[in-house]
Amino acid sequence: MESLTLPLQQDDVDNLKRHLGMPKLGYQDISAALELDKAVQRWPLLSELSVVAHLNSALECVSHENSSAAVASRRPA
Amino acid sequence: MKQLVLRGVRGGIGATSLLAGLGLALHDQGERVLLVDLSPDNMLRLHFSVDVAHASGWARAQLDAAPWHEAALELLPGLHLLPYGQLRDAEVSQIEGHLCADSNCWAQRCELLAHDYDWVLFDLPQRLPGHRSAVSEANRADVLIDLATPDPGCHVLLQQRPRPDADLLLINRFNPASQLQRDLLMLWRSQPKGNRQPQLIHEDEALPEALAHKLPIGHYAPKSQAASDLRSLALWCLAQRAKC
Repeated sequence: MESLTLPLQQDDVDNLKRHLGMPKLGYQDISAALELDKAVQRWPLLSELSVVAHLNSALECVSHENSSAAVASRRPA
Repeated sequence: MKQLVLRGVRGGIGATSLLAGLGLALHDQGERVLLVDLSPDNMLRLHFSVDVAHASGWARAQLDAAPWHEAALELLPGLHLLPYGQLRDAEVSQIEGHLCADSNCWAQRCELLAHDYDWVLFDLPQRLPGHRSAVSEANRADVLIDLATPDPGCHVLLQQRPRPDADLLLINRFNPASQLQRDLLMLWRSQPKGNRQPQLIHEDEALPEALAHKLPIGHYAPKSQAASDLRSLALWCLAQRAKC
């Protein structure tokens, strides 16, 4: 099974983070993100589902923020 | 003893064949394994040279008020199989009624078996919630693996996020020559649950051939790609046991 080993590129990024002593360094693989975007755009069903998934996760974030805001406002001053 | 379930996101994607192959692969690692067929289709036995006409099984025994465990068959020392049994539709509904009324039924049976086996592997039907208690929130199996094939139907069903969350997404019948399959795999790899990458069983004609020979793939074609993928999955299961 391929996934038993780390993708080489990910391993390189981890090595770099360790070398710089910056474990929290943000890293975005732009070419991978573009490839993924192309893959989704190739198939109308996949693009429709990805829009729905993004909307749902955005809604979840909003409701999570609202509920934590409600908890905060209930706290005595 | 650990309970393991392969939860097919839909029917017909090879869950029974893979479960038979995984049971044998775990047994090859020296584990004591019981395979339990919880599906009224009663197909699991056919991967182990049991006669098609063989009618007994735990559900048949339960209806006839006989001890359920006496229906078990020894395939090899340390590798046992408990078939479902041949039932009519009305009898399946009766068993479903029993299992819904007593949702701890199989959890309690597993407690009785805890010292005899290292693994109990369940083959589940696609519907029938009573028969599927091992994938309920209350009685979740120790190791729960979601099974999908890389096709748009499975993608739609996976987007609905089956509950409870699985420990692994296993992808069956992967064919790297297909553009659509490569795209789906890239998409699934980009949304790993808990940072766990999906694992692959490659498309392999040896799998249906193995069933046609009434053998698990590890015996029919031990050098095939799918048998090798299943050996890797068995090793993942052994590693997972340490965590649960």
